[in-house]
Amino acid sequence: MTVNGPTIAFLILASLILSAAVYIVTTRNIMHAVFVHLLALSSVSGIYILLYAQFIAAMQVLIYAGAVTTMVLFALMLVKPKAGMEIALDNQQKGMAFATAGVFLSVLLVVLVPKVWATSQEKLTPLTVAKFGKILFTKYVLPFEMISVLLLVALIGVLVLASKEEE
Amino acid sequence: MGKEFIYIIPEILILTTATIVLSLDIFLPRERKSLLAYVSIAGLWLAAFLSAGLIGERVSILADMFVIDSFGIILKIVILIAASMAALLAIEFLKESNKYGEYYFLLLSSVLGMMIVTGSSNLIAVFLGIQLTSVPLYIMAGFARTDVKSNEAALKYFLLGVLTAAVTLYGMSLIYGMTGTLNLAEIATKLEHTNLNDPVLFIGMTFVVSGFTFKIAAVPFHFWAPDTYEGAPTPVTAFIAAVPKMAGFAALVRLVFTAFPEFTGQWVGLFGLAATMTMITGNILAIPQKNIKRMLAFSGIAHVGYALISLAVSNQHALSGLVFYMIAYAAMNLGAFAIVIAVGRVSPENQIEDFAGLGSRSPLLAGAMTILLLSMLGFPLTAGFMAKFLVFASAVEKGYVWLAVIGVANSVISLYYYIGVVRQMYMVPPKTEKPVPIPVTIGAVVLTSVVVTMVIGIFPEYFIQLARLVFLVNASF
Repeated sequence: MTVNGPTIAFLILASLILSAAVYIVTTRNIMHAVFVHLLALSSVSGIYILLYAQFIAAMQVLIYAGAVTTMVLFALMLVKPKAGMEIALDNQQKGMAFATAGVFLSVLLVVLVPKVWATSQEKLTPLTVAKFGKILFTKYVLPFEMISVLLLVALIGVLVLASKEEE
Repeated sequence: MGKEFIYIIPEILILTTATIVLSLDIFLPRERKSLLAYVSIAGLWLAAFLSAGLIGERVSILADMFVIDSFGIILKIVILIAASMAALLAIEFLKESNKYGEYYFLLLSSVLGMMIVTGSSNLIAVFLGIQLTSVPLYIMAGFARTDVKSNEAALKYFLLGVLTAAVTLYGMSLIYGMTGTLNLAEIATKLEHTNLNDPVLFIGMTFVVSGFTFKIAAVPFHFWAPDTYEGAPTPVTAFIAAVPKMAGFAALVRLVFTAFPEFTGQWVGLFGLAATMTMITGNILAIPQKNIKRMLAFSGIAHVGYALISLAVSNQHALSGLVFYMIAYAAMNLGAFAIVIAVGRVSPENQIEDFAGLGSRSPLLAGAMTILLLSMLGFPLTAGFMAKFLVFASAVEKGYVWLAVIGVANSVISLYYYIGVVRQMYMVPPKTEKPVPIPVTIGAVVLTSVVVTMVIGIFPEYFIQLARLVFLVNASF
């Protein structure tokens, strides 16, 4: 790994995302978790910029950092947790979970760290909106349409699960 | 581009039916909403007929995202017909909540997901297809909102489903990193020049396979099945038990035959082990069950084990055997769950004891249940026997006698709990004399599945011919 600007930027972003993720699952304050989640999501958009995908980075900020975080805050407001409400984060299976996750992590580290990945020699060019739109409606038209159905399913699903029971 | 759309007309039709159901729901008066069920069933049958018209075609469409071949088409037809049976079963259940529109929209969306999985030739399409299959199922499992068990069923299914989705995606990203492509056929081409012993490839493959085996509830990814089957409303259980497994198997078959044909020699290790563990776990844990839905859940796990033998063998014969098994499995399970629904209307606890004396209370239902249970057991002259016979025979033919022996031994174990139900029905005096009324819709499903089970068992030639047609685009056997 050569040390240059993008590498340093990647390392900073990656450590931000990971530490934010660890904080989210360990904190007992759900409001803190939401705001640190915002940090993690914004850092992910930084990674997209490193990959020359500016459009996706902008969408990441708009949709995830903007809309999704706001939605989570709304949901929290509706279920009215007490300010700084503490929630139990573990149960009897804590030890087992740690052991499994530990084995998982060490296997991945042992296998993935020494791996030399084949990389493309082509120079990376920015993914423009025009290119993105074109590829979305030609090569990826099937996945694109499927996602729209999936979102409709999610919408109806929320209505089914959250609507008031009719009398 | 224009001509390609001919091949996905069945999929487009299902999507159209789903949106029609959703919009019609707004305009229909409250007491007429059960009409939506029949609209959905008509759509499903029409799509099945249109799919049948495509038999014989072999093409790859939509920028190689989707393939049309006889394997995909036959499974699609079975999925559509089985889904129409499951749709019929829900009509009585929905009378209470009157949420016909939502229910049938979700059911049709899930079916659309399964149809796409059966033909996907790209990892992204497979992944999205599985999500489109699963997300409606999570919601349907929690459809009885005031029932704590139904909530538990939905939550467990959802959490484990999301976990496996993440694992699958991670595995796919590793495969993409190794090969630089998500297209199944291209993965195979790229791997010809790669070191197949690379542990990264092995981990990527194992993660993806694990994600798919979750859908079919194979051991060790079966933990959701008993709780979800028990807690979900029984018509939903019937759907979850019988239909999505075909999509899960289709995804596995595409992966094994199209993307990793180089590994054919090694599948016997991975899938042979999975098949053995799944058969043994399913059968042993089915024995102590008191709840009929839990018992059928473990019996379903055992059946997945038998069917997995065909993936361990992984040749053309085994593939035909698998398709045959899926047809028989769907018929037997839909019928059995239909009877559970009928009995559950009188005794809602769904205990095996509730079947006591059914032989005198409702001789027709008891007779049908006996036939279906014998078929699950693998009794000659039933569909279950032919299905097991074809799968075990393909194993013996390939030289994996041990797999066939384990399969037969497990069928003997299953005798205990299947006959347990038959004993309750005919030899134990009834706890209640209440007769079991059979609504027309449920009776129709029971009758159809018994007839299918018997016809396949007595005249298997035609169905074997059909299964022999099975052919995959982009696969080398």
